[in-house]
Amino acid sequence: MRLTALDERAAKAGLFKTMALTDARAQFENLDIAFASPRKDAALLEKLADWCDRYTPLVALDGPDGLMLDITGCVHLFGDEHQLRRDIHQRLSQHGVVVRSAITGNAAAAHAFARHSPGDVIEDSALKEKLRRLRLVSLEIEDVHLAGLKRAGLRTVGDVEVLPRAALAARFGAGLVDRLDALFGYAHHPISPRRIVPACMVERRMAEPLIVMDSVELVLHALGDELFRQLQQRVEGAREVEASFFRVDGEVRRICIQAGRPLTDTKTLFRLLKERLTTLAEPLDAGYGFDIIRLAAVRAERTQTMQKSLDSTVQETEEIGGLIDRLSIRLGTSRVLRPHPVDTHIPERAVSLEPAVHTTANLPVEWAPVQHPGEPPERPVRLFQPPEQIETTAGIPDGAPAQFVWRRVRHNIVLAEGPERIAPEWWREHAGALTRDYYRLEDNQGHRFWVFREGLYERGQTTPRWYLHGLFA
Amino acid sequence: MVTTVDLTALRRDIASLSERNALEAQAPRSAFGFGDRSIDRVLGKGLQRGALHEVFSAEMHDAGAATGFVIALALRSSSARSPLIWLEEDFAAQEHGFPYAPGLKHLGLDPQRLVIVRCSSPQDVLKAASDSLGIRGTGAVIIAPWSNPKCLDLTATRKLLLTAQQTGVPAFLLRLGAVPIDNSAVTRWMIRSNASRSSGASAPGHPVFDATLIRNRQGMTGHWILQWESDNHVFRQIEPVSGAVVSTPAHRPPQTRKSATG
Repeated sequence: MRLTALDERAAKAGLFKTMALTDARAQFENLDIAFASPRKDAALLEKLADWCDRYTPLVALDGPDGLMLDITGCVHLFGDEHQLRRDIHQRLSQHGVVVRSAITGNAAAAHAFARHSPGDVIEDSALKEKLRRLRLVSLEIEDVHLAGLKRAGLRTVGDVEVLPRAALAARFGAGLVDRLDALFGYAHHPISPRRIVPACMVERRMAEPLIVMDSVELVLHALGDELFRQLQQRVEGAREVEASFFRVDGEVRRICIQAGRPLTDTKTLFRLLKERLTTLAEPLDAGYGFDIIRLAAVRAERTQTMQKSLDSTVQETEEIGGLIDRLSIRLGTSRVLRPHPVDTHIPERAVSLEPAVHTTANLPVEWAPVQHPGEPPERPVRLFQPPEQIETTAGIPDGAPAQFVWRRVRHNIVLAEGPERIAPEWWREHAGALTRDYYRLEDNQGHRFWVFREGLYERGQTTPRWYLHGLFA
Repeated sequence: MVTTVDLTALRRDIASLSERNALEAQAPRSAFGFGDRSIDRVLGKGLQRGALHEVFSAEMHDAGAATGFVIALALRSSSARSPLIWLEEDFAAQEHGFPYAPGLKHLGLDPQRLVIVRCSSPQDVLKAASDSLGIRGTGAVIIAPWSNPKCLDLTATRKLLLTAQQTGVPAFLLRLGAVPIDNSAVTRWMIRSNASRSSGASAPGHPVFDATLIRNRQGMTGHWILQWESDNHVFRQIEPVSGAVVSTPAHRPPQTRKSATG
């Protein structure tokens, strides 16, 4: 077993990473050890990243132990860069986290300074000079190449930077040149934030943490009004709203609300929010209080301003939208569905049920197969998924069954129509899929069924199987 | 520039508007018929629109017929483009098949109108039902819990009925795998499949229901053989096919009480 991480005291005492545990124990008898758990580390880092949302919406993970915050445009909220950095250090150390950080003009340089220097706020004017003074390790290239550079007598980043690029790339690979370009800001590597940047966001920072839920609600109300005022100026409404609650102890709770139509007022939002709060598995707990409450329109959409007409249909459509939103929030979006046609002949795939909050009705669509006027229904009202196997007795091998047994009841067929042959979609299915011959049957009691035979008599080696797929009215 | 206003045209427009409004007001929003004179005569003005109607499938194999009958009633009772909310308990769908949009289309229902709500428990079904009934824009609500859940009692159905009466939204309780017990439904139907008129070449024809009105708080009960015509959304009473077996349950006597027509 080897050491994977050390605290400050251990590092000072001369222990190092990759050192064997037995060696370390030999030096220090009562060494305090904990087993490494990359999963728990990652979870903690995620939590910290959530917490860092208070500084900027653009937070990205940087390796297994770092966070990258894009603070462009957020600094003035905290005074200046120095104050922002101090705030991060102070708050995180309160939570028992040791932080090293750097603020620079580009992400790669910030990464290098945070890890390989004491870290600081580095102005753009001083950036290149300071970069040149960094040790070669900061390049974070492969050990072989690093050793190669050292053997050539190079010590700092500056030493390497002055060398001709072509020669460097030829000798040490393109990786080194890329690294240099990134550090000096010649190549731009965008960070990938963990969360979608909201279209519009409002927040309230409290001097004293809020504990009483009533006051939380008041704050939310004020935030909602502000959010919708801002959205209204852009003629937009929110399709997805996220309320974030930052607790003083570092917990961040997020509650997301999706709506089928753009929300434009606080009242509707609150109704949905209340509905959501009642269905939460673990209730919203203020604990020691919230110090930041934020409301963000994650997805916004243009609203169509409609004149309140004398005709009540507009209002009724609105009400239906509200109902769909409420049901979706209570039961889950995957349970409130609208059918949409899919261009396929395979019956069970011909309908796709999509969350009603994500779709809008009123687009005229064609449903296959088209029914001819005056003809009886060709498709059942209820479809079994999966189809249920039945035992049949056929009059002639290739024809409709004369009788069949389904759920232990025998049905004697008096009327039959078919076959309607539906071939498998070879471009989609595995090789074993078989052609289906569908029949519409009616038994002597008047029950109408939709059954199919899987496979063809003339081709298959085994006897084809029969299934009941649906019930007609 | 002088704007000339054609006063007579304007007057005509206004007159036509108010005429239409008057027509709409006259149209009985409070009831809906079957489209067949003989039944509508028996039921008086038809069935009450803002009310709770209960439809049972007589046996397991009649689930398709009961579903079709409910869809037909929903189509008769709602305006052409209004949304239809179908609340179905998961178990009912697993046991009797899932609502299938292309088939509903063939019954005359535009699937675009449909909102299917899948509920994992009968409580969810009832809660969603009372929400849906409370919205005036809803065309009709189909409530399909499975079997006889405890929560579907007199109080629960009474609440649904009151909400439906307030908003005028028709509510249909589709009872699959259930037996009738007393509740607040205004009408109660027992539906079984019946032999269809073959559309030629021994192919099954239009849906035919054997419909027994076993309870009607507002009038007569009765028994009819009805064919649903999906093209023009009407029921048509037909004579039983001679020789075809109209099944009579062995364990239940045929309804005779206040029966209006054979």
